Amino acid sequence: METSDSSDFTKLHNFLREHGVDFVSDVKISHSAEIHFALFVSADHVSAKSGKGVTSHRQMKLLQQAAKAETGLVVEWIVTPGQEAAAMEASIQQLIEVNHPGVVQAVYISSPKITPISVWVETKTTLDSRLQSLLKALIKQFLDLYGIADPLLMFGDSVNLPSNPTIMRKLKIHGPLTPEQFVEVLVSARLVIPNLRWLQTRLDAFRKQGFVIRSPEGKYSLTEPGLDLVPFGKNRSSSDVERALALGRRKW
Amino acid sequence: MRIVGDHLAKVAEKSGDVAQFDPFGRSAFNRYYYSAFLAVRAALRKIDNKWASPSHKAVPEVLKGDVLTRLKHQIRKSQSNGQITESEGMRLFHAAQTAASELSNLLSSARETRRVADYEPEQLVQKSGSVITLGECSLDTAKAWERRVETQTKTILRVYGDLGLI
Repeated sequence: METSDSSDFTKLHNFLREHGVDFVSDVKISHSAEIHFALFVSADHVSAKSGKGVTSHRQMKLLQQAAKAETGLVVEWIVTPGQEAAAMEASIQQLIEVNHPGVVQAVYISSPKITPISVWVETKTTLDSRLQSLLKALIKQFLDLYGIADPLLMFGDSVNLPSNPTIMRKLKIHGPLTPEQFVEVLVSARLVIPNLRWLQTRLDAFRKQGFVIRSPEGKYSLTEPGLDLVPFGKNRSSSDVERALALGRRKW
Repeated sequence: MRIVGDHLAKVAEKSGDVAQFDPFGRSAFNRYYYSAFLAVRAALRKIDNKWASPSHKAVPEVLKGDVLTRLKHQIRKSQSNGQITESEGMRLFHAAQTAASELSNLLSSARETRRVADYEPEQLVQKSGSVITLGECSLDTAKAWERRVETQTKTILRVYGDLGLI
């Protein structure tokens, strides 16, 4: 007698054949109550667009929906690590090690078939900007050989200049602040401020736009339109909650 | 979790007897999965408390769904009020999207390896020289899960920070 598992398996097999699915490396019966089958596909076969032997995240999602609608089967996709990305990661790490020994701890890259690709570089120490530029050039040169242009390079330890939304949020939480006090707040949040003038220029630009006001004592605060720009919510990381906590901690 | 995994892996690596390296090896895979899962959960908690205790199955979907939807919404808002430029918005979204997609893939395949380790004792851990594997996953790959997850969650948290969301 045919078991339910084997009849479902036949249904799935037929479904995959009818839809021309040629990139699944394995099919397993799922042990989860809500999912019938796990379909395995190597990351080497996941691309930005689907085609012969390759699929896309969009196609996988559509097939998942179609499987449910046409066969009543719930499937989940499991994307297994690709050989291509692993080989590239190892090569980039080796290349950096040869040129700049002892600098890099690990290199991770996103699927090379989906561009622009992301490259994460974990370093053993904080890199100065000169060494960071050298590594960037080296990685770009390497990826160029594979026809991969404009990668997004991210250094794990790098500290950033604060973005406009970050400045506004910090001012909402800690304001009113003099520029000197504000620099301290931003630096303690592991942000880089090139100099006091840089921050003052940013604050004055916000002031001209009507988002920030300066008191006669030289302290900056957000205006009502400025407050409207800062995201808020009900959770612990909300700017409103952080503002309340900062006020509680303040020495009056 | 990872130090427990490292200890178990060391025992498995030292042993030449399948009766030893199989149970220690599969337990190491289990611990490495949990260390990766907990690292993702810690990052999600920093963004929103309601994502503090997601189910194992839900995490990959939360990453590709809610986490990115909230970002997309804020990017649009910040672009429309001139806080960030169009290209900045695109760059931020792409960085988070790639990280979320990679994390989601990693967690679902790691979860599957953990499932085999825990529930399919008939599928033995294999040892060839110093390389230990379970199915298609090597112990060295599993060892790197947590670090990889930490790197990629950092990207998502940074984008949230750049948009003033955290």
